[in-house]
Amino acid sequence: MIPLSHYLILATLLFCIGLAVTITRKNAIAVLIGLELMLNAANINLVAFSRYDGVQLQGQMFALFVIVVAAAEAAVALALVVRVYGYYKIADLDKLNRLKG
Amino acid sequence: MVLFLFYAFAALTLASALVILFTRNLLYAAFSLIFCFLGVAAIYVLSGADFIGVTQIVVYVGGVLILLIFGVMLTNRISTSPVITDLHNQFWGYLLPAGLLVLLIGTLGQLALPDWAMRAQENATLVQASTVEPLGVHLMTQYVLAFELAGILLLLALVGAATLAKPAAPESIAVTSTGINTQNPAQP
Amino acid sequence: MAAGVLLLPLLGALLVLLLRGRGHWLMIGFQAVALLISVYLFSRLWPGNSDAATISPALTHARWNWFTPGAGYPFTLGIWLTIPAALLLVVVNGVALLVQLFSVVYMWKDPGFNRYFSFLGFFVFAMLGIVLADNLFLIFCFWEGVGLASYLLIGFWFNKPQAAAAAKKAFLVNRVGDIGFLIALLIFYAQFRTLDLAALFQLMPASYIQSGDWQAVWSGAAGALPAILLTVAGFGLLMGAIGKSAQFPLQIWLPDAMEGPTPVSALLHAATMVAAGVYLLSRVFPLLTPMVLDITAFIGATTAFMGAFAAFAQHDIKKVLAFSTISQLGYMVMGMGAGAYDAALFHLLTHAFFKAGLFLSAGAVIYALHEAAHRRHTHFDAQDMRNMGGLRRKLPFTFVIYLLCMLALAGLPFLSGFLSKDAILTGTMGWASVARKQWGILAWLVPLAGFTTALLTPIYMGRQLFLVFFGYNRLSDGNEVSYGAIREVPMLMRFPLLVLALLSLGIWFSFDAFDFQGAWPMRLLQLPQVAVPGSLTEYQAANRLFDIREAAFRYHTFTGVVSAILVLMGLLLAYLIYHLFNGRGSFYNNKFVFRSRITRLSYSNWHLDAIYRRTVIAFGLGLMHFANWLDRKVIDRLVDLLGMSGVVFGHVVYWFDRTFIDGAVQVSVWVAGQAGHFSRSMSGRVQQYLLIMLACMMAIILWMFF
Repeated sequence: MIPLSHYLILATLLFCIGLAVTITRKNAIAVLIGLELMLNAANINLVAFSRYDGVQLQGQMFALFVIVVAAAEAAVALALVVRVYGYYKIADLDKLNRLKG
Repeated sequence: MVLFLFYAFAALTLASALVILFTRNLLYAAFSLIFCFLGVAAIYVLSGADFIGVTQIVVYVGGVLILLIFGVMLTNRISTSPVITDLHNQFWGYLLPAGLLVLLIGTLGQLALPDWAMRAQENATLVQASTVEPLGVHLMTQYVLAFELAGILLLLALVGAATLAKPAAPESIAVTSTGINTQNPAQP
Repeated sequence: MAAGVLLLPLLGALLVLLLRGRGHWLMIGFQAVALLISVYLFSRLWPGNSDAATISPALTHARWNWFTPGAGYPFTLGIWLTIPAALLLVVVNGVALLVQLFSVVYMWKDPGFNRYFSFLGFFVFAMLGIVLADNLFLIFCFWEGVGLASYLLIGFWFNKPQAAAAAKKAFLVNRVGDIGFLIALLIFYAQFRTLDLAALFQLMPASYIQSGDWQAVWSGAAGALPAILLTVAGFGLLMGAIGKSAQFPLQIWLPDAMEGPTPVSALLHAATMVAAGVYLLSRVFPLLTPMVLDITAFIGATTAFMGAFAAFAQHDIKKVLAFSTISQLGYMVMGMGAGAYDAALFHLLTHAFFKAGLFLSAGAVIYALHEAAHRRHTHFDAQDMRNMGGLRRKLPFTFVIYLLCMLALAGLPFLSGFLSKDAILTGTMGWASVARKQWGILAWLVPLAGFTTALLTPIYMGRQLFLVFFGYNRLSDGNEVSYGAIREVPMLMRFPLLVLALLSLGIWFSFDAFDFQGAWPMRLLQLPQVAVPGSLTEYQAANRLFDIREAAFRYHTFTGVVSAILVLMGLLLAYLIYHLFNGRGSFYNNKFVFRSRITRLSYSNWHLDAIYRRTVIAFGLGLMHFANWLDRKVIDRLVDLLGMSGVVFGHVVYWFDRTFIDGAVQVSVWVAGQAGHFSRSMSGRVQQYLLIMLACMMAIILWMFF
């Protein structure tokens, strides 16, 4: 029986690595990779806690839907990236600053 | 044995994650993400979530990663030079996640299992065997609405992605461009 | 099997609509099969052929559950093949087949050929539904189906305004009767929770009248309705029959229905439409109380006389026949009311044949004249008897057929009409001798009307005969040339005419031409078991019918002799008036109009249309005007008031808007402006936002845990 804290530490490490990747990378696809890492970290937590819920399996169910949503998000995000690249010929997020006030 | 396997896969996951963190080559990052996902899938299986593990492999490794690599290839000329991503926010970008890590690990000591988890631990109703069957039953009964909605979401994402990726007609570019970019030379 | 008979015409009607080419052969084929099955079914039910044990209930009465209302008996639909039903089955299918054969030639040049045959099939289907249905509700459905079919067929040439108006009139007048039918249905359902006839026949005698209440006894709760509703239900059924069978006071639609194609008139008058009312009365005969039956007899007698009188002064060859139909239906209804159930159905049977024959020969005359006009390129009204005369020489075959059928209608001995008319008159004599205890001298009016009509019938039919077939041709104004071009109708038209004329002979029904008692329909049709509530009156309904029977026997010879004399007298009178004394009918040219008050009364069908226009329609219009006034002066005012209050409210809201909401908007604009100033400091880089978010989150964690 793997202790719960092991999962939590692993998930925390993965999440923080993902976060660092998301923040530091300029390329949009690298940012997406970081996002996927963070989602996986969250999923590990869900599955870990779901072990205590053998009847309802709510954690696993949630993880399943997270994977589905992540897949949809990846598809749309990559479509956006490709589209943005086709338009501006760049995929670097620091130059896409239309959100500037 | 299970614990050893857990450590092994956790190490694989973390190692590949660190590769992603420290390499600037996008293709390296994408390929080490494969190992990271595989490690996570193995950890799912070890935690009694075999169905989630298989889904992880199918969806992430088979779908998302392929998409990512496509994305890399479509947005860079990889034939000439390696795809290198630039870095920014280097100071705060490493410091703050590290701080978050410390904070979160620090809170682990204060972690107390909730009541229902304690009860499950006492009654030994932890997940042991395969969860495919209960998952299927739940999906078709209790979560059927969410299941259908997820299906619709996927369909919409598919249609949306296809629509977005399709080259737009010239006039529609003009329409969208007015709201997007001031750097575009064609822009007034 | 009976269901097959029912569905075959419908199937034919639907298929004909789908066909691209001419579909008459299909419809006629289906109809012929239906006729064969009907004959087989009838032969199975024939008392001599198979004893009661071998006739399976499945053959005579089949029921299917339709639905079960919340609490109560399941609602069944079914087919109930009684002997009268089987007889009608043969008659309807037979006449329909002959009419369809006749129509092939008659309608050949019409663009709506297939539509016509499809409507005919639907008409037959609806009528067979009425004949076979075992349930009042189902009968009502088919009843409306017949109404619809008659609407479609009377208005078949719907681009003729008169035809469209006539179809509408027939439909609307029938609705008046249907309201009565519907009320009767509701009463029976409220009382017994079923509309199944067989069940009603059992439940009715079990119910009883006690201190003004009509108590029903059935396995569920016992229901009680005011006793008057029993009579109301009977009158409701009677009203339905009055509407459909064109009885007084609703007979106005039938003459107008002549706007339809002539073969349709033959079908409508002989087998399908008007017979439905009489058949309904026979079907629900056990449920009718003596009171209702007496009124039925009076109505029938009135109609018989009025129809015969109105048939005198008509120009249209078909209108004479239409009024004669009204008159003959009056006979049938009178017979029903007088308790001569079997005689009325017998008359329905014989009338179906000779009236179809008359209409088809009238159709043949019209067709021949129309063709002649076409050949000589002249234009005249081919239905107006003022343009006829002397056709005996040009249309000898049609003349013979017409003569046979007309004499049968007039009631000459040795022909079928004499037998059945005699039976009805005898029945009314018996009824009068019994009913005079209640009605006094009034009761004798019914047989009196019957005998008067028996005298009038040969006169007006003789008038038609002499004016159409004898004398000289009266075509004028350049149309005379067409007389030479008149040709006898084609063979396909002659065959149905021949069959119908032969069936008008009395020999088929009874070997003894003067004894209707020995006729097989009279022996076949048993008086049904009466099913009125027990203890209904001091004088039991069943006994009363029995007494009427007994009394009628005494008048048998009397009526036979009297009606034979009346017929001969009538024919002689017709000959004298319309042929011998008036220049062989030469006065009746196309300048002729009815001038005297009495002929105008006849011509306008007792001014009934005008009376209805002045009373019912005027009342309806008045009601409409009142509703219009109410709408404009009261309801519109209310609406205006509502609108005004809305405007006032709007002004209040406007003021509120200006003062408070706009103020709030201005405040929010100011806040947004301030926020905008703040956002100038943002870089627009998503990842920096993420960093700030992260820092905030870490601060929250610090605050929560440390």
